Amino acid sequence: MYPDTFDKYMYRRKIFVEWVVNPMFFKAFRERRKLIRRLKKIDYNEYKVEFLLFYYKDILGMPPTIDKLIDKISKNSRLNRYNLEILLKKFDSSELKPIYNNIIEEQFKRLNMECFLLHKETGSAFSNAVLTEL
Amino acid sequence: MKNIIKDIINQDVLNEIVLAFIFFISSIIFAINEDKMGKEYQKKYIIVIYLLFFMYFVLFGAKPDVISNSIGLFLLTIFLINLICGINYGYKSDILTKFIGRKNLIILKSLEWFFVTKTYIVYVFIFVLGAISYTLVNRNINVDTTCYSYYIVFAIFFIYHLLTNMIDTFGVYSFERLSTGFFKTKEYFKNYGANDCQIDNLPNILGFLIFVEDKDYFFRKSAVFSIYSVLKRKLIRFKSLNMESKSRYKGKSLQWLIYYYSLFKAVIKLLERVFRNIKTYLRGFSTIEQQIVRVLLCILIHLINICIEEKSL
Repeated sequence: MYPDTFDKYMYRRKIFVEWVVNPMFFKAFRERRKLIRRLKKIDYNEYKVEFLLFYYKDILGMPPTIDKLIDKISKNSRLNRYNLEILLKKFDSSELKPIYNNIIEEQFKRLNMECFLLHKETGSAFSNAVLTEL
Repeated sequence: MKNIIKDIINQDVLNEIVLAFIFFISSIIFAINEDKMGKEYQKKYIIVIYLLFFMYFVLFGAKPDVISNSIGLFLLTIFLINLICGINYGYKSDILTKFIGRKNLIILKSLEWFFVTKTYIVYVFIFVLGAISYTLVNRNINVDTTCYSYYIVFAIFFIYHLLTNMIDTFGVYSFERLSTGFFKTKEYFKNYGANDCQIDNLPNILGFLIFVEDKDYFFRKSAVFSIYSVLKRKLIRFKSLNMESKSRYKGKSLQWLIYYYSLFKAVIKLLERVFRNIKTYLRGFSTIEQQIVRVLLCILIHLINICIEEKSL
């Protein structure tokens, strides 16, 4: 929200908020979910993708394309646009990309958010997958 | 001053006063009749702590040998008061916070109280008292004139602590607040229709976001950065890169030894890189969870309203 002002409270923010409050909050969240859904073990990817969406909407303001996402990150981060474009190239050829995409798409299906899996350029992700299988 | 008090009042009256004083202090520390933990309560807490020191100086005398012997008592008292305030604070926390369990709740709330009221200044004060006593005892300086130095140090720390607390705006929102925001967003995405979907390939965008901000987001269970998760991610990369080299070693004697030696070399290289860039790791490297909590949960209590007002104008 106002990230620049937190430099004044650097040590308290770093030690207390990031290393004490943060794990405690997620512990409380997990324990409540376990109790409500009557689970013994929790699937971490479930709530991680949900929080990723929360981060994407509330903190980044939902940039609709990667280009606008780069604009948004370069304003708040020490990485500039040039660095981020190099990172994008690395990401496209990275072995992590399919891993991330698989997890996210799986969770989108669980959340009934299939509309986000439709791509503008390539059409439906599902139809493509079905065609390749056929 | 101790003699003057003894002359004026007899032992029974003194006992009554001490009992009344204990009741007064406990009513403040346990926050009886306090609605919420506002600045007023913090001020009372600081005043009570320094009042205890003042009482000690008056009753037992501000002498170097007495104070140097009771440093441990001071530390224990401050620690216990902080713990009691943590318990008290834990009682008033919301239901979601109580899911972390008794032990964690007390630790969290005690630390919260410690950082919100800047109790570490009191520990510095005790350290300074100890240092002064140590030098005075070792150098055999005249005891009668030195008691004023304790009162001066006391006054400086007391005023400084009150003034810093007055302008301090650090605080943490309740967990429930972040949780409600989270559920609102979840509902928003569920109701986001296919027709008005203007986001182009959201999984790819989110994937790139993780790649830039926090590469091992899906590889770790905890909410904070850990070396184990980094090694796990690096291992996947290493395996994909070394598949060819593994097949190259096939048939050769001790192939597994060569393979694990190269794995070991890669881990050492990674650790070396981490230690070389330790400054960057300390400065940044907030995970996505840490960023969410920092931006939406950690607040500047009083400033936030002013900022919202100014933005709306």
